[in-house]
Parts: sequence; structure tokens; C-alpha cells
Amino acid sequence: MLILFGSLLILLIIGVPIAYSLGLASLAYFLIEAPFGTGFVIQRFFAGINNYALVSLPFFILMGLVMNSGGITRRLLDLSMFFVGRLKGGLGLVNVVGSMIFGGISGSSASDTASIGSILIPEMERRGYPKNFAAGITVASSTMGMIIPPSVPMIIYAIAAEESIGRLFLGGIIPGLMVGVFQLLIVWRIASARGFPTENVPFTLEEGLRQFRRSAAVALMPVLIVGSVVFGFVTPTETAGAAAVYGLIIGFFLVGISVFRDLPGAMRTAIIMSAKIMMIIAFSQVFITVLALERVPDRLADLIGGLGLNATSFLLLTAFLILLAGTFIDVSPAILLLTPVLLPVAEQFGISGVHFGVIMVSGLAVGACTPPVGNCLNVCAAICRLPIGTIFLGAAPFLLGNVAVLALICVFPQLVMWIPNTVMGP
Amino acid sequence: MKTIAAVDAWLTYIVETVMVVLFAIFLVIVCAKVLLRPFDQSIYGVDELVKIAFLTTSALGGAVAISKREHIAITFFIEALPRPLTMALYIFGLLLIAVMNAALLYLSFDWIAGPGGNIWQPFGMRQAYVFVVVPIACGLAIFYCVAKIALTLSGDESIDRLWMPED
Repeated sequence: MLILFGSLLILLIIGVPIAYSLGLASLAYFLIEAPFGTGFVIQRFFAGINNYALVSLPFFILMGLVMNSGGITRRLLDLSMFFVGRLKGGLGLVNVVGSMIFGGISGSSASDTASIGSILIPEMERRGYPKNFAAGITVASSTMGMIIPPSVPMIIYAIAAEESIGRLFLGGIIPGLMVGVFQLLIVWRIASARGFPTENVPFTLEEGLRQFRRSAAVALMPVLIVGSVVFGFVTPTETAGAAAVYGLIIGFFLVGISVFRDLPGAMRTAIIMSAKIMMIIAFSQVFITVLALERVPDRLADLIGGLGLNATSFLLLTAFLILLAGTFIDVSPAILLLTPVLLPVAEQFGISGVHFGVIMVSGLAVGACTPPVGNCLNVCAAICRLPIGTIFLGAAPFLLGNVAVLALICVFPQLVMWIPNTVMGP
Repeated sequence: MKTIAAVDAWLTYIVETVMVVLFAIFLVIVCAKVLLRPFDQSIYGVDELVKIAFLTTSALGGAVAISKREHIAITFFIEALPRPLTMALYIFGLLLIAVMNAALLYLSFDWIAGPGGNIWQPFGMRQAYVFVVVPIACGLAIFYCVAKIALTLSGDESIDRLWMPED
């Protein structure tokens, strides 16, 4: 086991890609500890990529890429402006509400940061907001992209944990909305204290209907996706495929995306992005086999059992570990590394896999905004030309809202489980 | 070095084109399944076809991601080191990736000869025809690693960006 974890740690630190670090550490284990089992390496690797449910990954990524185009984002921000623009700190509030809607569409925090940040950060700066405040709220609010369904990390967790994608999507709704509400309150409080401006937006029925008509086809997309997965009209893979095509149709008619000019590039990006996640999934299957051979989850369960923890204190401890891991490891690899180790222990405490998954994704979402390995920070730094440390300090007050929600869902499982249990049964 | 760079770019272009075509095929198939659902119709064997197309794109995409330096890695620590050390560790990492792919390539011979003889249902063909994508992708990955090492050592590729972050 020392060979496995020692070599993995060294490989990760010296910058070997995470997928290959998992593969090499497992290969080293087999060669030194169990040479008879080297055949497992290729079998488990292939089993990792031979999974029909995973086909949904490139489809959701493609949909997110199409939705990332400026015209669609602008419409969603105009809709958000109608709702909250006239309040104190209007543009900050628009940033949060925009992320709540956009997160449900793109399924990715970094896409959210890129598309909303490139429009709102310069606009907020022009209206007198401090640049680190504008960048901070953009980064922090983008975390909802992972929690509010549909969410790519939720799909990856569902596959790693063999859980229902529909239940996980539903489980993310309340925590995602809670993060949004907490962040709205924090923005409003700071804006009131520092005298940030309001926006001159007409709040009339005509204007509301006009904004809704402009963005209804886009804003209703998450409802259609989650509804079709949850109610079983089609499988998650088929939903993802249909959503990708729906996104293309919207993009074609609303913002003039060209099938011949833009689509091949978006498809190429989607397939490479999904392939690099697939490589991690494939090699993590080899790694999981080694963990099972070494009985790591059982040993960990024995260790934690000896501490005399109850389910809630175990979840709080796990949430802390997830926050810590998230600062160093990207979201997808962290899910694939931590799930096989921690989920069996959680199940021994009687914790639902859905509850655990929402905690994991919510915790790792914070990690995407913390240095040194925070993707959203890197994306935002490229947009606003601020050091990631400055952006993180700007985001910190809002991330407290995320941490508060994380603690609440650890203590009150019903915040996660109520919707899935009500809609899909216990 | 120009020849290596040209072969690298040409090979990447070909493989990416194959991947986009396969992606388009399985996107169309999945959407056709959705459209046929209300009519209670299904197309025989399409799920397996989609799976084969997808695992082919994933295996090839994993190799292309080496060429484009798009694999997910924690580069924070080595980027903080002096530049020559960063370069040495980056090249050592590429060597290790090549070793891993060589190991998979070697192991795939027995795997294809053994379980590869089983039948892939519902097409009735030997599973080896699908399995063969793994050694092809591994061979491609080894080529990309060697090309990256050569191009980095010659200074034709910079190490300003090592591996791209997720998303």
C-alpha cells in the first residue's frame, strides 16, 4: 500500500497528469506486490471506458460550449437584470442570479466564469465597483454551475458511485439555490455598506414578458433536461444528446451559430475534454481494483469506526477533507479518487450515496475557487488581469455562503434528500 | 525537428477528424433513438455501436490530449521550480506516460489473443476488433510523448504552459 500511495503522491507532485499517475501507481503496485495480476491493468482500463452511460459526458460538454456563446449569455443576464438590477448593488446581484440560471444550463463552473465574467466584470468596473469585488463575486457565484442541475461533476460522481443521475440532479437543487440566496444576501449587505449603485431597469409587466420571450427557450432548458431524466421519458444519455442538439438549434436561431464554421470546433473541444476525463475514469478503475485488493475502504472504515464518530460528525469531517482536497486537485479527478475510498465508509454510517455525492460536489465546487489549483480563478484571472490571490480575497466573503451551505447539508440530510425522495420515492 | 512537428500536427489533424466524424455519428444515432421513442421503435444494436464509437474516440482523444497538452495535472509545484528543473520534470513525466502506454501496449497482445476471441454481441464479431483501438491509441500516445520530448529539448516547444487545467 505504501508503494501505491507513495508513488501516486510523488507522481502528482512532479506534475505527471492525474490519469497517468493513477495508472503508473497501480502498475507499480502490480509489478512489485502482485505480478500475477498485471493482466487486470488492461482489463480494468478497458472496462473504465466501455460504459454507455458515459456517452452523456461529451454531449453535456458540447451543450455547455454552445450555450457559452456571448449572445445567449447576454439574454440571460438581461433577464436577471429585470429581476434584481434595480436593487442596491444591482450588477453584483445580476451576477449571482445569472449564474443560478446559467449554471443550470452549462453544467460547468469554468464556462460560467468565462461567459458571465467577460461581460459583467468590465461592466461592473465601469459602474464603479472595485475590480476584486467584481471578479470575486463572478468566481464565487460560478460554483452554482456544479451544484444546480444539470451538472457534469454530478454525472461523473453518479458513474463512480453507481448512483441515479436523476436523484443526484434533484438532490442538488436546494443546496444550489441556498448557495445563491446566501450569496445574494452577502452581495446586498456589502453593497448597502459600501454604497454600490442601482441600475435603472423598468420593472413592468411588458418588460418582464419581453425579457421572458427573449430568453424562455434557453432558461427552460434545465427544466426540460432534469424533467426528462427524472421522469424517465428518455435515458440520461439520450437526454444529453437531445439537449446538445436543442442547444445547437437555439444557438443557430438565436445567435447565428454556424453548423459548418463553429460546430466542428466545438465537437472537437467537447470530445477532447471528455476524453481526458475518460482517461482518468479508465485508470481510476485500475486504481480502484488495487484499493479493493488491499481492502482500503474496509481498513478506513475500521479506523474511523474506532474514533467513535456518528454520521453527522463523519460528514463534517469528510466535508473538511473534501474542501482540503479541492484546493489541490481538480474536481473530476478528486471525485474519481475520493468516491471509491470514502463512499463505502459513508454507507457503513447509513448515509445515502446521493446525499454524500451532493456534499462532495458542493465541497469541491469551493475548491475550484481556491488557490493554488482553482480553475475558476485561473479563468477569471485571464479575463480581468488580476492575480489569483487578489481574486480569491474578493471571492472569500461569498464562499463563506458555500461553506455554510455545506455545513447545513451535512447536518440536515433532508435539504438534499427531500426533493429526490418526494419526486422519485425513497 | 520540423519534420517531427509536421508529422505531429498532421497526425493530430487526421485523428481529430476521425473523432469528430465518430462523435457526429453517435450524436445522430442517440437523437434518432429519442425521435423513435414515441413510436415505440428501436434500431437493433445501436447502443453497442454508440459504445464502440465512444470508446474509440475516448482512447484516441486520450492520445491527442498529450499532443495538445490538455491532460489534467497538478503543475503548481513544478512551475514554482527553476526553469531547467521544470523542464527536466516535464520531460520525465512524458517519459513515464510513454512507459505506461508501452506497458498497456505490451499487455494488450495477450488480452487481444485471449478475451479478444470472444464474440461482441449483437454484431457477432470477435471482440478483438474493438479491443485493437487500445494498442493503436497507446502507439499514438508513445509517438506524441517522444515528439513532445524532442520538440521541447530542441526548444521548438516552450514550457511556458505545461498541461492545461480542467475545463
